[in-house]
This record gives sequence, structure tokens and C-alpha cells, in this order.
Amino acid sequence: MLNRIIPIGNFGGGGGVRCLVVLAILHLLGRPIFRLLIHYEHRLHSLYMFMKKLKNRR
Amino acid sequence: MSFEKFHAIEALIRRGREVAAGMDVVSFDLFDTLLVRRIHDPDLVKLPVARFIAARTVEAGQPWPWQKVQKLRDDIEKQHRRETAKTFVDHEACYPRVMLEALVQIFGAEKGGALLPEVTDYELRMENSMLVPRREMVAWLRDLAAAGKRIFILSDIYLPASHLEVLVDHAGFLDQVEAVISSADTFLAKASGKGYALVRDRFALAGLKWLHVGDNPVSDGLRPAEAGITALVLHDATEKHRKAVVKRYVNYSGGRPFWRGRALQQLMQPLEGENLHRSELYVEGFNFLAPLLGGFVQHIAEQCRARGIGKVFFLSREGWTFKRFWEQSIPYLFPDGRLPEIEYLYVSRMALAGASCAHQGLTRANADIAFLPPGNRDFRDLCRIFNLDVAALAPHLQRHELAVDTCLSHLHEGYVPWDKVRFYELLEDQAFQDEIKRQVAEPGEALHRYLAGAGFFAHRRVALVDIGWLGTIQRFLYEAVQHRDDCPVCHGFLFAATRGIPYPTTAGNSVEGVIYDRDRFDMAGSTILYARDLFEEACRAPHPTLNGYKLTAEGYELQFRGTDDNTGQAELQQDRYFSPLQQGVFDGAARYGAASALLGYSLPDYKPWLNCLLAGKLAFPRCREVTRIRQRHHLDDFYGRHVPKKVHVKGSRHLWDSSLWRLSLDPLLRLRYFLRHLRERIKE
Repeated sequence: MLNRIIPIGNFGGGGGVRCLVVLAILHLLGRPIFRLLIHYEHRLHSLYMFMKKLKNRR
Repeated sequence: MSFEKFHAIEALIRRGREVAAGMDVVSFDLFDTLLVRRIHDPDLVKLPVARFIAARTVEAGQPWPWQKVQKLRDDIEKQHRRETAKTFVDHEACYPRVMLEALVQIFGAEKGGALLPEVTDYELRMENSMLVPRREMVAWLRDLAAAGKRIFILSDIYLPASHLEVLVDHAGFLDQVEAVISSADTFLAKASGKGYALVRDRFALAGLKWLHVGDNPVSDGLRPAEAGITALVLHDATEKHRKAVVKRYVNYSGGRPFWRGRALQQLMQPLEGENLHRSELYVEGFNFLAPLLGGFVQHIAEQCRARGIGKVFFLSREGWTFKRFWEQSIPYLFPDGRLPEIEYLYVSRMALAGASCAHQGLTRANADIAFLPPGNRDFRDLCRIFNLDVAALAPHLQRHELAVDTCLSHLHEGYVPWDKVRFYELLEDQAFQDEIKRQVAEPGEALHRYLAGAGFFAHRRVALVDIGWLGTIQRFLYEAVQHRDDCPVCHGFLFAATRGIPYPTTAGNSVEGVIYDRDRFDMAGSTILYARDLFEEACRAPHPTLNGYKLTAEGYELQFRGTDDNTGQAELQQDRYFSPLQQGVFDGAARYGAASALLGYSLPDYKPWLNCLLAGKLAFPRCREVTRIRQRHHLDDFYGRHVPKKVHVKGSRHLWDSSLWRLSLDPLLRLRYFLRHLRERIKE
């Protein structure tokens, strides 16, 4: 769409909003978040697996 | 029966040093403890190996897609693990057996067996390229070894100990270790605890105090603790974070091509001990130029294979950097070795210009090229470029009512269009052309001898690689040799092709701009035009330019420009200034090769990210970036010393020539230049 207004070139469809948000959080806040969550990784992993199972059932 | 767990490597080593003081034996897990991988998923290292085997199947005449090769390997590995589980507690597999079975199924018993060492070498080379020793952990291991502790490395993996020793040796601490033990050799692993019993018996460790360090809470924590071994487990938040970032880039790149180049850069990043303090120029070379040059040489290699090109000639002087980059990166990308020969060719526009006239004389198109640079004004400039004797040609000029100082460039004061018409008539004059051919006959012959010695005429198809921009060197080179029966088909690859003057493309001679080509509308790629000199200076070889070829009794002699004058000294100064930048480029070469081989992408995949990189760095640079990587000097004998009319000087101003205070204080400066650039490209 942008290319039709200003033809700035091929950017492969861009980064995608969701990807940009996740990567921005990972780069900017990732270090303190991981330091905090690593202590609860086992429980978080169980929760993650449970959510994945729920998602797959749907 | 418990073990201590740490979330930072510093805390573990601090505790480890206290505990180890009273220990006789210290064992380490290998992966994620002593060595970390650049990639988040170790299985991804298997993919380039599958691609390598697939390439060999093509050679064997029974092509297999690499995905099918990978699936076969996975299936065989699973089958082996199931078989092992019938006899042993641990479900282990052994790489040589798995790979041999896979290769035998693909190629048959004889050829499959013969291929195993080659495949193993490549797999270990890829592993080595992706593994980095953990600086603090290895330093502690060295201290322990120096203190007389017995050091062992234990790993649960499908690679046997002999292969692990190759990895540890590459990481540089095999000499500190008493033995490397792998579960692949005995199928007794740490996971069940039987691996510890095996080591205790084999190395007579019973009764000795033993400390084990690893990253798996079960294999490296619980099991050694059950066996009475003191265990420390590392659960490293920093590493988890790093791998989470890599994982996102790699996974996103599957669906969004934009991230492929960024994933490549992430895998190229220096880690641990590699991550030293470097100059800003080095960082620019590593982060900005290395991926661009990597994409460039990878594309050339792919094209050479596709077009059956026998030899690649990297043209001086930028070709020196391209060739070095090729040598360090391409072996990772094409391990099957089906690659053309490579050679660095000493050429220059000045050296070839004269030689190109030896057979065809001075053409109108070539004369026009000489007047493209605004510093060239009259016939004396033409003679300087084509290495002609002005005095011997003066009578011919007089015959056409011209003088040596008649202005022949519209960019200068005193230009009269009729003079240009008379000049073109002069070019039609046979006596003038004969005199030119006589003057350049010897350099022309010397060039032929040089090219013959370099094997230029020994191949049916050759590639000529240069930085850009008009393809003048290739044009002159081809014109000098095209009359020969053994003249090869020349495929030109330019880093960027600006095509300021139409290139005479024929079936036997063509050029292609790889990162940017004016014939393909690519706005982001065209931002290279912002700072062409930067790329030239950054890639330039550390030797002076070539002035010409001299015919001698023995054959030929290359005549280089002296470095004593101001131009030569300025060039040396520039080379010294940019040497950290070049070092960054070279250090990035092998990393590019390994990362790109692992991802399995090529230039079209990386291009969206490279476009973003180019536009950001060149069209919208930070003031600091301009200060850092703007070249100090860019001098070329091809450009004359005459000053053109002011109106032409004004029109050729660039963002990168702006003063720092303007770059800092004018918020719309970059946008203005960018819009002007857009307008110019659209109008082209």
C-alpha cells in the first residue's frame, strides 16, 4: 500500500505488527523479564503446555 | 540427595570455586555448559548437512530433495533409539551408524560408505561454526586443570567421543581434559545415571570426591546427586533470553521474508569471548558491509553454478576484498565443492582504456566515457586516460580545426557544440585511428599475455566481478579481447550497476548489478548511490592502482602507480583509516557463510532486510554514522583536475557531503535529499 504512494522499494511485506511488538519487548525488557521468570520456569512451562493443549483441542 | 541450582554463570562459578577446593575430580557437561550454540535449536545444524547430501545425490544422477534426506535421517535415528531401548535403559543413538545407514539407503553400500567421512567432516564443521566456548566456564576449567584436578567432559548426545573431541579441540581446551565421554559410544547415559557409574569404573574414581557441573536438572543434577556426586546446575537466564531472541527471528523469517536478513545478522553476532571491545568502524564493517558483501558473493557463486561458469575473476582493486570474502564464506555454503576457480585480476580503467584501443581504435562511446567525470575537459584529459601521446596526435587535431585545449565537455566554460562535432569527425579519421593503434599496440599485447597467463582464455565462460558502477573496466577488457577466437563469454557481476552510459550488452558480454541495478526499479537499493565512494574505499585492496601493462622480452610487466605524490599518500592515509572497517568485513565473512548455510537462504531472501539496512544507513544516517564512516579522501586519476561550471557542481551535492552542523541541526535535510533522490530515480 505504502509502495503505491511512495515507491520506496521491496521490504518483503514488512516486519508485521505482532512480530515487531514481541521483538521490541524481547530486546528492551527481555533481560529483566527472563531474570524474574527463570525462577518460575517449571510452573510456567506447565501452564504453557496446558494452554497449548487447550488451543490444540479447539 | 540434592543439587544446587544457579540462574547466573557468575554465581555458579563462585560457588563452584568454593566447592571444587575439596574435590579430586570435576566433570562438566559439554553443550550449554562449556559450549553454547549460536542457534536456539541444535537440530537446525542438521539441515545444511541434508542439503549437502542432497547436492551429492544430484551429482550421482538420483536427485533427492533435502527435506526427504532429512526425514530419512530422522526416521533412522528414531529407529536406532527404539532398538537401543530394547537392551539399554537410555534411548541413545550413535551418529556414525545412523548416518552410514542413511547414506547406504540413498547411495548404496559402496558409495554411501565412502561418503561418510566427508559428510561427518561437514557436520562437524557446521557444529564448530555454531559453537562458542563459554568464556568464564572455560577459564574456570583451566584453573581447575592447573590446580591438578582430574577433568572430564560427559555428554548425552548422538555424536561419539571422537567427534566431541574435535569440537572441544576446536574450542581450544581439549588439552586440559583427561577424557571426553559420550553416551553414543556405550549407550550408558547421564540421564539414567549409568553414565556416571561407567566413568567411575573406567577411570577408577571410586572413593574420590567428585563435582559435576551441567545444565540439565535431571541428567546433571538429580542423577549425579543420587550417585553421591556433588552437582551444580546452571539455569542461565541470560542464555534463555538470547536464545528466545534468536528463536523469534528464525521462526518469523519462515513466514515473513523481511526477517530473514535480520535472522542472518543475529546468527552472525559475536558471543562470549568473541565479543571484544572493537572500534566503531569495525562494527560498521561487521554489521553493515559484511551481510551486503555476503549476499553479493553468494549470488555470484549460485549464478556460476547455474550458468556453468568456469572461472571467476575478481577485478582490482575492490575485487581483492570480494575474493577474500568468497574464500572464507563460500566453502560453508557449497561444501560439495562444485565451484569455479577464482583469481584476482590486476586491472584498472586507466590501464585498460589504452589497451582497449589496440584493435578497434578509439570509439565514440569510449571517448564519451572519458568526458563523463566533471574534472575532464579537453583532449589532454582524453590522452591521459587512454595513455596516448598528445604531441604525436596534435597534427591530426589541427587537420580538424581542434587544439589540445579545446573544450570538449559541456560541463565546462568555453564549450562549443561544433567542437564536439569536429571531434567526432576526428574519430572517423583513419590516419588518427592508425596513430592511436600504433601507440597502444604494445600495452595491448602485454595485456593479452597477462590474461593468457591468468587462464582467461582457457575457459568458455568466465565471471568478472567488480564493485560497479558503469561496468567500464569490463567494457574496456572485453573490447580489448573480443576479436580473439578463444575469447570467453563474459558474465559481469557488479555490486551495483548505475548504468550512467548504456552498456553494450551482447550474447558474449553482459553485466548485472547484484545489490542494485538501474535496470530493475529498486528504490531502497538505489540508496547505494548516496555514498558510492564509501563502498569503493571500504573494499579497496592495499596496493596502488595499476597504471598499465608494459611489454617486455620475458612477457609483460604490471606498472603500478607510485605512492609518493599527494594522491598516493592520501590513499595510504585513507586505507589506514578504513583498515578496522575492512577487518570487520573479513571477520564477518566466515560467520556469514555458516549462518547463511544454516538458514538455507540466499540473496533474494535477504534483500528486504538489506534494503532496510541500506535505506536506514545511507539515506537516513545518524550524524555519528556519517562522521564515522565517511571517507576522508577519494581520489582517482580517471577524474581530471578541471573545475566544471558552478551550476553542475551544485546539482551533484550529496547528503554525505553535508557539513556535520547541517546534519545535526537541519531536521528536514535527510528527507529533502531522499525526496530529491526519489524524483531522480523515477525520472531515470
